[in-house]
Amino acid sequence: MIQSIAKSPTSSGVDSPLVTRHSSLAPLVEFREVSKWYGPVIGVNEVSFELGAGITGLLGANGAGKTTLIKLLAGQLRPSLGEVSVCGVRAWSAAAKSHVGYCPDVDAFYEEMSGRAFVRTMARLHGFDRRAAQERTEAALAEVGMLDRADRRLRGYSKGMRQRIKLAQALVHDPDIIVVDEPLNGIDPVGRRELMELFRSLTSRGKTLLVSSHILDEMDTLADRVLFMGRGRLLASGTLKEIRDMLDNYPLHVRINSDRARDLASRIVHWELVRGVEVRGTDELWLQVHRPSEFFPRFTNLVVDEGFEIERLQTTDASAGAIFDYVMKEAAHF
Amino acid sequence: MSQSEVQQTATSDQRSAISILSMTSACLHLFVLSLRRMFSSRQTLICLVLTTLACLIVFAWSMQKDLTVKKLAEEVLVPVHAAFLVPIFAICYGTSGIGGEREDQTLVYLLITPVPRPLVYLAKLLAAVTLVMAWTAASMGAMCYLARPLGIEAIKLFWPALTLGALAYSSLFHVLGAAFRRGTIISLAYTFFLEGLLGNMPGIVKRVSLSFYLSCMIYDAGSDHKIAPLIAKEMFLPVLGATATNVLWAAAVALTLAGVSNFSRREYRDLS
Repeated sequence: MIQSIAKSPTSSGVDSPLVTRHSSLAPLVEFREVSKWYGPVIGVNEVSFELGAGITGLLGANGAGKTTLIKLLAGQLRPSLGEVSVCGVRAWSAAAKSHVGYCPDVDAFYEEMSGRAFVRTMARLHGFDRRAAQERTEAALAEVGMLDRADRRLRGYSKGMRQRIKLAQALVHDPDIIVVDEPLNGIDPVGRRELMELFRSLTSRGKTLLVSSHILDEMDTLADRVLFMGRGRLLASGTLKEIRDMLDNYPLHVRINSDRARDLASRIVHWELVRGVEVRGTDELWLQVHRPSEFFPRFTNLVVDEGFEIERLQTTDASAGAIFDYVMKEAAHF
Repeated sequence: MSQSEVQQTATSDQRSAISILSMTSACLHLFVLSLRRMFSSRQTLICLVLTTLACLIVFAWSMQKDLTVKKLAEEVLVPVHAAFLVPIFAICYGTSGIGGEREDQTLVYLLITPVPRPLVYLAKLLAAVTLVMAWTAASMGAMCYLARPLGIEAIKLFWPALTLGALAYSSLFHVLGAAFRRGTIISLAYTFFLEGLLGNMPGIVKRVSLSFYLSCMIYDAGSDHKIAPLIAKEMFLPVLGATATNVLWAAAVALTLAGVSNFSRREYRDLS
């Protein structure tokens, strides 16, 4: 397994009655050799990782174990083996719930309520008094951009609006960790961009986000780190770059446009880091590169020293989707 | 103890007091929320229709001559109210407490709050019991009002039995609603097949049904009016009223504890 995870941050001060703030040195989230069975079926298999600040993308195909992992973290399931802890306490316990804001995948609400009433209800259930709940509700609704549309009944909301209200209820108690299950499903491109900006702004305030998605493209720009799940196992974790660099069997494909493409090719074709070179037309090079972290500095030096003009330099298979495919291929060997 | 330790203890006590206060506030809000949602559900309509029908039956029955408390109890209160309406009220609200939230997939929102699961269960149960009690009292009041002046005496005699019966049935159906996916169907099957069948069997087999103890309480309370089961006493084998009361209390407490235990450990995998 490929693994590289940042350490946890500290969090903000106490401002809520039932909600406590994480201030110890324990990791915010820790999975220790966690397995979960559903009868004879294994949902999650010996998963270990720690979660730190920033956005972590949880990626995997259907049935990979993403939802099981999220439910374990949200305290909806108990591990069959191992331990899931949130801020030093077991995720299943009531104490852990105050640290976690959970936005479930399920599209269910108290439909008879307005969006505002629903979020306020969740605030009250987190132990805030009437006035504090009101303030929290308005703040959470403002955060998700629903302040002016929150008085309509939930049953009349569009999918995107419902998603925002679900997110608002997860934010209303100002948790340290926000767990979001498939937030981009059914959201239009504009809504997606807005949600992604919201996620970014949350992390800028020191929040930890775990975002599950099967839309891999969005994770390229959204996630600081990713967890790749497959068949219940954690296949890889770390930044996309770290994971890509470690996939030695799959050289990085690099596309370069230069006015002296042939000349450039002749200079780098003998480098041991370059596995293949293909010249297309007069100005386009396609390279297969090993150990990109060594290749790019060396390539930069060459370009500067020899005065090559590079019009375009693009990696074509360093996206989350491409890396996920490679990781899955690697996993198939085990 | 040093001054800083005293201060620390005081702060800790204050913090735990705040926490208890907010926990109480959260539980109270859950209770009110559950009460409001259950009351504005279709279950209330069902209870209203059934109560209206029962009142019409009592109204027709009250046209007879030579009415007595014994007749009122044996022909109306026991078969219509105790054996039918009270269990139905309890099924309506008992199973919809946790079961309704589970069916609507909104239970997840209660399980992600820091309110401990036992308190979630108890708040829900309390809301269900409140509504079942309210309907039991309202329907008994309406029926007895229509059968006045006998009804007033009947209320005095039978309200403890019917109230306790409502509590025991609510506890039972709340457990079934929390434990089973199709809690309402299981509860209906239990009431009409198991309780109906076992409760009317000769011998001591009927002692496993709640309706038996409820009937024993009613017969004991109405003994001065010679209220007795329709089948022979030798076949019915009633227990003393005090025993029946204790058994119903014990059943309510045991079922509540079983429900709390089950709900606290249960993983609801079907919520998303």
